[in-house]
Amino acid sequence: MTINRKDFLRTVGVLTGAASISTLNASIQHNVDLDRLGVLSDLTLCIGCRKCEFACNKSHGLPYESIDKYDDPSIMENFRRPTSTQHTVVNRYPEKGNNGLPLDVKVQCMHCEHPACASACIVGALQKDPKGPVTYDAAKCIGCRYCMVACPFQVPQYQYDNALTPILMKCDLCYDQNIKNGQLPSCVAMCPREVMVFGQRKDVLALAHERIRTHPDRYIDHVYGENEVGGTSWMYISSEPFENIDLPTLSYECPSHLTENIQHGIFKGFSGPILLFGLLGLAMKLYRKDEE
Amino acid sequence: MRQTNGINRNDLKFFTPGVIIITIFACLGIFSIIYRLIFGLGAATNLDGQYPWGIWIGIDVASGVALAAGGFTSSFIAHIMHRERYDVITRPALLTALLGYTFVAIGVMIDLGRYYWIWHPIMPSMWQGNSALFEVGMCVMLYVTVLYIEFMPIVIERFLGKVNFPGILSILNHTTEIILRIFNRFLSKSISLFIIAGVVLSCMHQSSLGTLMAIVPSKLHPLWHTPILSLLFLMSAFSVGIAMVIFESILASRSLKIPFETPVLSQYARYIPLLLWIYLFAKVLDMVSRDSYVYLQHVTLESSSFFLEMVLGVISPILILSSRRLRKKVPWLFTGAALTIFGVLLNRINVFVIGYSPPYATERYVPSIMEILVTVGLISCIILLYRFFVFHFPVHHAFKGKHYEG
Amino acid sequence: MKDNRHFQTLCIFMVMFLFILSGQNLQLPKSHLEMNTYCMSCHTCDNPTDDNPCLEICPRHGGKFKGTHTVDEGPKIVIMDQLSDIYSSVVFQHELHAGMSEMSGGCDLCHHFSNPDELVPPCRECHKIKDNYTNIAMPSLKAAYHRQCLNCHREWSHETECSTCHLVKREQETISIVPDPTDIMGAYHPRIEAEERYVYSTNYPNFPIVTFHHTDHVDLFGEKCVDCHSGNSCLRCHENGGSDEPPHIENLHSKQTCCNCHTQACREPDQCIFCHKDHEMPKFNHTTSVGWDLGDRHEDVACQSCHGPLKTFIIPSKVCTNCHIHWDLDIFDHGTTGLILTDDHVEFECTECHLNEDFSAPPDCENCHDPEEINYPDSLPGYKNK
Repeated sequence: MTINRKDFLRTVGVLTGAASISTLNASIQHNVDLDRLGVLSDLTLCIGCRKCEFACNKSHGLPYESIDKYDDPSIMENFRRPTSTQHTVVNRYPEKGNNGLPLDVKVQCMHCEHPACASACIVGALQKDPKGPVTYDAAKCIGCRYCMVACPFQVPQYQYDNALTPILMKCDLCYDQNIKNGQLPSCVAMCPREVMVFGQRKDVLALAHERIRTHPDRYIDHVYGENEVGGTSWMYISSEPFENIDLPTLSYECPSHLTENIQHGIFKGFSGPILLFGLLGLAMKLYRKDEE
Repeated sequence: MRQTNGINRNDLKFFTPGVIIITIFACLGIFSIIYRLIFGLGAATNLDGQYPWGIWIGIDVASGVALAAGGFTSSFIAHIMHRERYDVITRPALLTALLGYTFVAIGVMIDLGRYYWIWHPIMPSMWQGNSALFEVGMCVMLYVTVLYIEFMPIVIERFLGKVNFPGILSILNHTTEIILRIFNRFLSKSISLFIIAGVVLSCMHQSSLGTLMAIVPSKLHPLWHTPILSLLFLMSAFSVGIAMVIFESILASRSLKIPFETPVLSQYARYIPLLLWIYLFAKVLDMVSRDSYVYLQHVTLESSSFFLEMVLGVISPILILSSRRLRKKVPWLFTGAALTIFGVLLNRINVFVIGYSPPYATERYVPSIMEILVTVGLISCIILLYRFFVFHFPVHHAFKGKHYEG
Repeated sequence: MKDNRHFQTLCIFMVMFLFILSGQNLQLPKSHLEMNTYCMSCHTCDNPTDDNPCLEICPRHGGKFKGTHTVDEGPKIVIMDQLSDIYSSVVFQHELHAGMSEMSGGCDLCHHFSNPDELVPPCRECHKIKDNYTNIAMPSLKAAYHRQCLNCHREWSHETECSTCHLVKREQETISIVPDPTDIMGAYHPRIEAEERYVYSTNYPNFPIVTFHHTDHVDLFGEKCVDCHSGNSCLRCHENGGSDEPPHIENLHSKQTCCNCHTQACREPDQCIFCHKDHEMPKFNHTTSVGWDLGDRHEDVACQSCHGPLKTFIIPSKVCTNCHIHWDLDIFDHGTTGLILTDDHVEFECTECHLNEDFSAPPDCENCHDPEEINYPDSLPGYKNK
């Protein structure tokens, strides 16, 4: 090595300066409304009639079949995920329910409390409404699909077959069409057995714990979505551990917390970049003197 | 060591057999891009709801940005640390960065679903400070601008006093001359500001590129996911920047039949092991503190790819380039630089493609022919344009092309 | 003087006591106003407060069913029509289901709550139709029905298709005869032409004639071909090897074929004349045979909808509200009877004009009007729309 000590120290000093700036921590304030809405899905009640799929597609103007076609359970032999033409699907897990019955699991956007997709979105097309739903504004979206990368539940879907004006497709909790008019989300309203309960998040959460308390034989003691990724607006209770019904086991820390901390650390009043700029200017001057 | 008497290469042809093959690849790439624009992402790529990002992001964008780091590292060393003896390779590095970033932007546009709205992030109404991608986007946009400004002196040097538009446009000759002069005066005073800005912007987005994937702890393999991913990205960008300068300088010298800049390059190369040591130290420390080394016990695609990345891409260049004797030999210098580049390239591919495992994927993502053609085509375009600029602008000190006639 | 002070103190206490009482009344939470049950069914103490509501666990889980009831106390069928939207109303065979649950759990298998010494309240008394998100703890009427029905239908018979109970609402509600794959004709057999009726003469004294209305049994009563033409060999009909010759059905002419279904008539000697007559019988007509005119409203309804499966044939009540138990002022549109009530009549309870819940009898106007001036049908409480 032919680097002299002075050079080395100087270089390391500059580098660590840059590095420490990029990991600066800052607290983030989240916009949380106490009247936040939530949904509780009690999977032990679901019978897999798929009427929620019908109601969802109908109310969102997506293609749907006549209602009696949804009675056919054969489609549930295959594992399905939300697609660009279906915001929600029901999957069947044979013999996973109580008394050897099948367990049916409706999947849709979880409407995270601190959604990674909204944190990731480059133009703010995805937003967490203070009331709860994660909404999407196609007029802003540039189609980078970073939200799909960021989503821990792999929910947002993209219109890959649309060459010119593709948009993101995902459950919006029927926010504009129903909730704002004081109505229930279409799937919740349609559900014959009230598998899903819609209300304020704290209330439905209390209901979930109440049900688990009164029926310890029927439920496992875990409200999925209470704490996962920092909490979600959509929660599940079930008779079967959630990892067995393809709901991913996730950390209780919201994934966007780390990245937002990093971002806000760098960008707090642009102090990081300005500091680095000054540092480099200083270095430039120092080195010039050195040369002379 | 500076080559004062340039070698006149008027007899060197632009098109050689190798260049013709590259041109064919470029044409295939452009055809694939047109196909993607007409028929959409679904028809051209193997992307789906599980794998929203493929090699266009992993290679064209993420690796492209990393490999174009030569621009800011060399300008940092040459201009900020005032190692003016390295000047000979600053210009080629600047040109590579310029082309690299331009094609990163083109690559992003091809991958965007609504490429015609790529300007949306500039609008203050759509600013989204939480998003790492927003920072990357803004920095890349600004940095491309800075790069173009940094490249201006080369254009001015080429045309100042030699502006000669053909035909009727010749009436503009005088005006253009004056504009160039104004630019020249402005730039000679303020260029250092832009140079510093370029380094700052590079540091910001090179690290934010790592932040991009820090948001997916549950999807990115623990071998790569770490809270300090952005720091690792920044550190590897430093080392690959230098390696890239060495790599392409040797390649260009061979291709353009000009002498190797070996003394300068080996001077440059001594920084690489130092930077890689720091990188390796941080990486190992991080893996030990998070216990992620346990994933190396089983042979999987991820673990073997990780081994390849670390052994071939980090440890072997450290070994090669630490030796002062080997550094002085062009083949070893080239190997060391190439391995460093390979390591960072593989690292970016690992982070964005191989290490990314969505929860419901039934089969692993494999790029389609179209995707590969576009990626290869874009790289071919960069090579062709680089050659074009070297032939027509004073980029390499030793290579004086037609533009120096008269 | 001393007494007076005592009296004053007493008065003050009385006023305060009354005030507290009335105050408590006023403080009744808004959500409780529409509750029709008495306080003690949910609260265990006399004065529940917000801090100490002393709530009884939900009657669903506490087994608060009081008293014993028999199957025939309840309605025979219940027509659930106040929720029908995409699907048409459901005709619930209450007697059939009550009979089944009597074998296992009794009334409280479904009616998990009842006040002592009172009628068992129907589901809708607690479970309200709701379209917003006010009370999330208690299932809405729709959810209560579906949870109740599907608990058994799912576990016992594995029937979760909506069509098990519902018909999709169509423009014109008609009974469609769906090909049944378990039947001969459902299994792609060409249509078998049969006579509308077969007249048999038997050797039964005095009443030798038996008229068998084939069409009625197939189209009206929903009998499958294989119910009578039982046997599993093609040769039974096609003796000569599958030609177009009419099938051989001689061996069906036995008493046994009819007795498979008419078990009661075959068992009891005095019931023989159910089939054996001294003359040919006309086609089945609900008005003449039963004495109850189906009218426009019930004409298109399948027999099973009201009478249940043939094997467990039940005879529902003739009183409208015994089946249509949801019909009250809010739900029932009098215009469907052909008479739209005037504004001053529309508010009356049904039974104020229709005495004794007999809605087919002419209304009684004398309660309010002078019979000399106003009587039915000379003057009407509205105008006809048909």
